Amino acid sequence: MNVRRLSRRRGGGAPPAGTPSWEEVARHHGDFVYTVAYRLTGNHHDAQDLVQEVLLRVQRGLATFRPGSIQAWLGRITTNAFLDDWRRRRRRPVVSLPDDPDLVVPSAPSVDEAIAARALPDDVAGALAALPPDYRATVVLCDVVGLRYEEISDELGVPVGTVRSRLHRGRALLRAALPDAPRRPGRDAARSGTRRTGGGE
Amino acid sequence: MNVHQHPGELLTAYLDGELTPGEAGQVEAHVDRCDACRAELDGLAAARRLVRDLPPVPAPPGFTDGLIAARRRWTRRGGGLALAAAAVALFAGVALADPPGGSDPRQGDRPLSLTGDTPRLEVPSGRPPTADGSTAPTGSPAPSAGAPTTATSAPAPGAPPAEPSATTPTTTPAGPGRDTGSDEASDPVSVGDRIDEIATSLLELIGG
Repeated sequence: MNVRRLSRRRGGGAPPAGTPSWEEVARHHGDFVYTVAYRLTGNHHDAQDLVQEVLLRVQRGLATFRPGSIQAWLGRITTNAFLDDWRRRRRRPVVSLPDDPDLVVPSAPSVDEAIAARALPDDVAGALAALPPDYRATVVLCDVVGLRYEEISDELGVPVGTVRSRLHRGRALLRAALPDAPRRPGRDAARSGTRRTGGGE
Repeated sequence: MNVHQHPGELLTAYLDGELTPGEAGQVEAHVDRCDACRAELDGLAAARRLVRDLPPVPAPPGFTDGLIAARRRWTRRGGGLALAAAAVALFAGVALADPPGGSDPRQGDRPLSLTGDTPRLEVPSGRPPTADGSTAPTGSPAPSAGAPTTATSAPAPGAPPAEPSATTPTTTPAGPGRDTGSDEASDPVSVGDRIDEIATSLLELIGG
């Protein structure tokens, strides 16, 4: 691979073996970062700004990068940059929906197989973009980046229970936002595994 | 929980494989006898799957390559100091042109084009370039006399003082791309404009 190592790192010490250069990150993971950025922002303009900010942070962060899942690392950086920007723009803290333990997912029973079959990606992306930003960030970290609850908890600085709660509400809001479809029994949702075995598709 | 309690959020954790086997078994036992929770589980599963099945969104053609090329270009020129000045100018310009509470991040139909008259590129306000010792121009010899001063008055920072190129972002007309707001569309020209601006901010860090 003809990739020049152009990143100049600050601070003393060589980077750990396996640390990619800035250019390698940009070239090989640029589309992944862009996807996460687009899912978070919902439009190309803001996604491009976000990618730019992420690459700035990558430049700084490479010195402390530890070999592991680079996409998870980039997903974290992207989500945090998104939330930082959102907070800054709004000049106030991220507002969450109240953590109501009694909130029940709107019950439109068992139309979900049909919805899943019919929903267009644009509808889903639009519904995702309409979620409150902290819910959206949590959903993206889980379902786009693929992090575990514990990792999301560490990254966002909230308890695991809050991660679970935001995911639950976020998905409930997504489900409620998607158009209805003919009733159809669907039981296959209850096929997921237990800890460390589920989560995949 | 026990089998008679509605699992609530545990349904979500169940879908994500975040329950212990014992908890998962209780959720399954409950769902088998509770239609409402089964329906809720189905709804959550559908939402989860839909997001996971969303297609990748690749960067617009030329976007990533443009960033890489711009970074190489600037790095080769050793334009770090000029860039620092440009970044300062950009920061000042953004501070003036972009008052607090500006744009709505949900605004989905903005054009991609960014031209010099209204730089929207956001240098993170929490850390202006001068806060970074490596890019602070104070007391350092400028590569070309008066560069920081002239850069400050420039509407866009794309042109380093040492670069006499005639094609800089500041000369790009504001017209094309302004009115093509399709969210999924990517105007290569506009992307090119943005890349130059973005590169300027990006290279803020390379000066050190």
